[in-house]
Amino acid sequence: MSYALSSDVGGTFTDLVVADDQGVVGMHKVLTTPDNQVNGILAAISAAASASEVTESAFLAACRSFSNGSTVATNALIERSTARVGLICTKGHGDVLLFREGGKENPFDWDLDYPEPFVPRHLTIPVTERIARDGSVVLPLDEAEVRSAIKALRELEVEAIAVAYLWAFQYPAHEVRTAELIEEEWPGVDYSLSHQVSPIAREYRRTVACAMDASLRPLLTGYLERLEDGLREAGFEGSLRVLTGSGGIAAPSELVRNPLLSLDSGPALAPVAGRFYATAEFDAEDVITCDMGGTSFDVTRVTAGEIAVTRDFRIGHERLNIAKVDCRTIGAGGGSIARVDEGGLLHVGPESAGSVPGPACYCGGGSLPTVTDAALQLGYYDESYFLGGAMPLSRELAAEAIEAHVGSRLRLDVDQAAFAIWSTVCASMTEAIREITVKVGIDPSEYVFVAGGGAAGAHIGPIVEGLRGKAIIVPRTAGTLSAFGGAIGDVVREFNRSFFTNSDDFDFDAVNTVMRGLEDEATAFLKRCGVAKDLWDLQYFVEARYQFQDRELTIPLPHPRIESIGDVRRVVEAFHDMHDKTLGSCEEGGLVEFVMWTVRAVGRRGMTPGAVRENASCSASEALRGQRKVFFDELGRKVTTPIYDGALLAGGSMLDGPAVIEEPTTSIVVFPGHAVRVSELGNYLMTVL
Amino acid sequence: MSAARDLSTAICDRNGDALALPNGFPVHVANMSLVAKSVLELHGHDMRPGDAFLHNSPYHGNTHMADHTIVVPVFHEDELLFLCACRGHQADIGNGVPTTYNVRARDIYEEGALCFPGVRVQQDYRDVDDIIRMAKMRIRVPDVWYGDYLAAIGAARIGERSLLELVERHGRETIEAFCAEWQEYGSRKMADAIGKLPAGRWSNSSRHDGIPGLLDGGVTVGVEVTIIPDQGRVVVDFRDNADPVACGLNLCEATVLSAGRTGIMNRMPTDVPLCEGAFDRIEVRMREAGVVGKASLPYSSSVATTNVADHAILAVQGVWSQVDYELGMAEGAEANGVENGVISGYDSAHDRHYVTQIIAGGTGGMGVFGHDGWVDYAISNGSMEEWNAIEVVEQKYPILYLQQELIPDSMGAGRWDGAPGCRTMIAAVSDPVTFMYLGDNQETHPRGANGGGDGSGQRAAIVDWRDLLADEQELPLFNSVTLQPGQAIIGMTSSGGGYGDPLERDPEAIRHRVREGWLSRSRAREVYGVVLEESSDCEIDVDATARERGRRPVGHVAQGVCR
Repeated sequence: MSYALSSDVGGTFTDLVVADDQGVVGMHKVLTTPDNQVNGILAAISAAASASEVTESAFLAACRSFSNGSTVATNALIERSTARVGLICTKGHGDVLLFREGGKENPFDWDLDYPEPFVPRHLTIPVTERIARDGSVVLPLDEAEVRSAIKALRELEVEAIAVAYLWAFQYPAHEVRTAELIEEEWPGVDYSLSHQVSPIAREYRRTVACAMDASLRPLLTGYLERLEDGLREAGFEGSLRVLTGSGGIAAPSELVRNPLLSLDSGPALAPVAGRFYATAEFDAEDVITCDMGGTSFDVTRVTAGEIAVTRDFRIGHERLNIAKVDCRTIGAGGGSIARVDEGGLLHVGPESAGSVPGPACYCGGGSLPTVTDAALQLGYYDESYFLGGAMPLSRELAAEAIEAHVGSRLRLDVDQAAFAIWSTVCASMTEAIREITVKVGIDPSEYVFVAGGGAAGAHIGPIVEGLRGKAIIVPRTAGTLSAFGGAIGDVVREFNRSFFTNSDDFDFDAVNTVMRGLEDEATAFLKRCGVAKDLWDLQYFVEARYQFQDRELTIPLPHPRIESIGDVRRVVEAFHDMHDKTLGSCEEGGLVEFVMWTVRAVGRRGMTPGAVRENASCSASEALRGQRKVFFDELGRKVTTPIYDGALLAGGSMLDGPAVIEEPTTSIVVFPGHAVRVSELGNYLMTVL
Repeated sequence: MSAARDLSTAICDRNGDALALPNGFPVHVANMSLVAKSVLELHGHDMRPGDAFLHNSPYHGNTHMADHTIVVPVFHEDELLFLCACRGHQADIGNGVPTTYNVRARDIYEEGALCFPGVRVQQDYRDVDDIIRMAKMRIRVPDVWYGDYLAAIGAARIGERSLLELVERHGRETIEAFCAEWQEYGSRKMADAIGKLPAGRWSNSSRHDGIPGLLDGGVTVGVEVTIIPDQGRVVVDFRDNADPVACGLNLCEATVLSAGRTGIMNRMPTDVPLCEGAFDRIEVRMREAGVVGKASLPYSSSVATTNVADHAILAVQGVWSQVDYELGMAEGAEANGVENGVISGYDSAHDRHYVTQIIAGGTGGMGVFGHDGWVDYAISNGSMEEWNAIEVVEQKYPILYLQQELIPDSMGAGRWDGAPGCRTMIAAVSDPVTFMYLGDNQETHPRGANGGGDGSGQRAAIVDWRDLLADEQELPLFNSVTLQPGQAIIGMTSSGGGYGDPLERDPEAIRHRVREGWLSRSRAREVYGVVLEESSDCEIDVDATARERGRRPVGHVAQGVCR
């Protein structure tokens, strides 16, 4: 037997999924160890070994691969604990990182401090050089200035140097020469060049991406070394892989080359799991994946089998043009706190009660009502069977908190107040899903919804109904969606380059040269990741806009090269169509400008779904645990509702709402008009009738 | 307009009252009900599903001619439920001269822009070609205008579709009940916030520089603000201001209203919902005709959204420094100079003529209680405008940015400093380029408050940038100039005024600014009384600082400098 392991290190929990060729055989959750995340991973491995009743080293010896997703890079950026980086930039433009791109969230809010630049000014050294839009050298690179800048940064004890000049994305000569000078003046120092990190127009985004790249490399190098050493010492001999924000896996050396790949790698793998289940259960290619835990709700989209990607990534106060899985996160989870403001409006979240003191019903001293309190009051959870009974809840404390902070303020009885809290959070989650569907011209009603996370089961039915969707999967691995995604994910990375041309005067040679270059980078990447050639899949895209407009759309290219006027015309037609669909208008005959070219490298792994529900053999009636009063708005009151023990339900079992299915880590509420079937693969398939 | 996010949207109820104003520029949205009501007045009797109206008349509730507003009625089963509005600032609107702001126009006729006072531009969801043809004839770069027009129509139509879906899902009764309750909610929240303020009446003024040959005396905007906490009401009275002037600087009903509301909203809690219910609690009084009053024929309001409108906002927000030290704010800088100028000309590389406004490089946010000034500041849009990326602008137009950096030592000093000014230097490389810009803040700098120093002054200059020894020639601040290849224009924005006594500024903040190159050691000592050691870490010499601060008289000069 050989196993594939996948771990996802989150803020609170480290998840580990163990899979064999047939499918998932184990899922483990341990607390994250923030000081050294590797310890948490090793603890999860111990847990998995003891579950298999073998020693840790025997267990690891049977593992052929280990994938790891980590928040190391994201946390370091948010906490500003990255390496000290010096920036060499174009003279006259030393404040690119200070000014960013202007803009402010709330026009009437002045009660705030302006954020400091990512690289402080005293570590930023502009040098004389300038290249214009046509590649002409307006000011030659002043090599003496560059040499003294390097010396100065060395004296300032920076750990790495970022070099970012205007127009370098298209004309990199000055950056290339600066790199040579760095190697002469300060051999061995680590440096990043903007045209290599992000060869895309917009100087601020490219510069900050370059500086982040330089500042994260030492950290990730150290982390990956610790991880590899830890695993090898414990007896692991297989291949190590890392999860990336592109929704795939890659060789660890790729993260060292391009540290920005590791940002957001956790949520990025959830849609991989979602797509897997949707394919396995319904052979569906359009999927919304929702992950709802204690504090946040993450939602991602798969359309026609492709995970939706954004090239506009925000972290803290910064904005980067790097390709990432398009994941919307809102502060809505079981711990979200409900409050009524002075004007009488109910708000739920983003403030969260966390795990300490936690929701009022946790008996941990919390007195504010949360979503979990509301769900308990409504009967969606069992006081004595939360987390499989490991954590007794107090319905009385939940009711008190709801009554005191919401019911009395809104003159609602406690059930109605709880329902108001619960439905407010459902509305926020529905809105987050609309953000990545309706707002980009996509109708979610035909999508399959995959719900993960402990809190999702109590909300997903009405959310999907509100979006007029029909099919929902609550998978058995609901608690560890991302780690599962890592176990089955493909090798993925996107390569982009800016190059401007337009539909009237299309520069075939230059575009095909750009595409060829990107293709070379993409295939080199797949080779480095050890993907066999017959599993390669290269995909081609272009970002296009109406000339002199600013809003670009991503158009898939049917062929790797654009060779005829007819080829251009087909792309232009696809652009008009998409413009009409997503932006509500199109200009037939309008000149289309192409600005950025993309090749996405995918190395398919392919994994067959396996059943995990071997022990369950009961029919619905045999799995009935009892009944209790549960509130359903459709029925206007609390009604006596059957409660089922999910662990006992055999494949093929069917039941109709109203009903509640209790699992050790989640509770699935089947609303009136909804029905559930347990699939042969052991997942819950919910249908909105 | 898309380049700078100079575009705003609103959903109004069937009465034209704003319900939802997501993330819009205050000057665009704090008055959106006026244009909606104007369309109702003009077309209430014959409006049908599929209509769209183009509105840009400042004489009928719009902001200025260059803001093209699209208003779309939303019907459910033949009954009008909502109006969706989308307002975008167009660079070219057919003015008599190639600019979006025709400041020298003595009247609407000389201004030259096509005026669309709530004109039906779509019927049955299709363009009324007559109107489009007229516009395309009189607009210099019709394709860019038409692209923006389609984007605005598209946005309004998406709003229409989404609202109808909402009505389908929840039922009309629920939605109507919600709309009424939402306005009530806004009203309660605002009343609650105003209820916590002290009662009283305060007056203030703010001055726009004189413009030689056009408006030599400048324009002083006076205002009287009355807070009536027990009624939850604020009255902003602009009636004591001058008659209309014979140039494009007159405000109009929409921009006087938004200025009054913005000056107050700038210190209201951020969770007050932006809807008519809340705004209604700020009553703005103005003259039927006046430079700070309603637009009146034949006078032009071409520049009604910036300049004088900015000073109207500053005059109102300046009142807060008198109401309560902990609510106070200084004056921020005007940013309508070279850095945000309108450029025009012929680009030989693209073989085309262009007219556009470039947006980047304004700053000089005011010091406010608790915070230094916001960098990336702009008054009338609450700093929401996005700056153009230099590479994106250079790709589209034949200009080359040689510099865009903050000006050290320029900050108006205070316990909380104003944000520094910004120096922008733009060259013409291959083709001549014409710049038109409407600067300010030369005679009257952004004023500090409660002991804070004034900001630095604004400047403009021209230079032969290839010649290192060439002198910069000062340029007027209200100007149009054509650069020849080899010449560069320089714009230096003002800094913001400081708030509070600079001697009370946290020495650590001063050390940080010195280290970061915003502030010189000598100015740290002279203005803030903080003495730093010569090391690169700039440690504070605590004893010398105490001595230095101890012997300063209160109220010494702390104005920012622009070198």
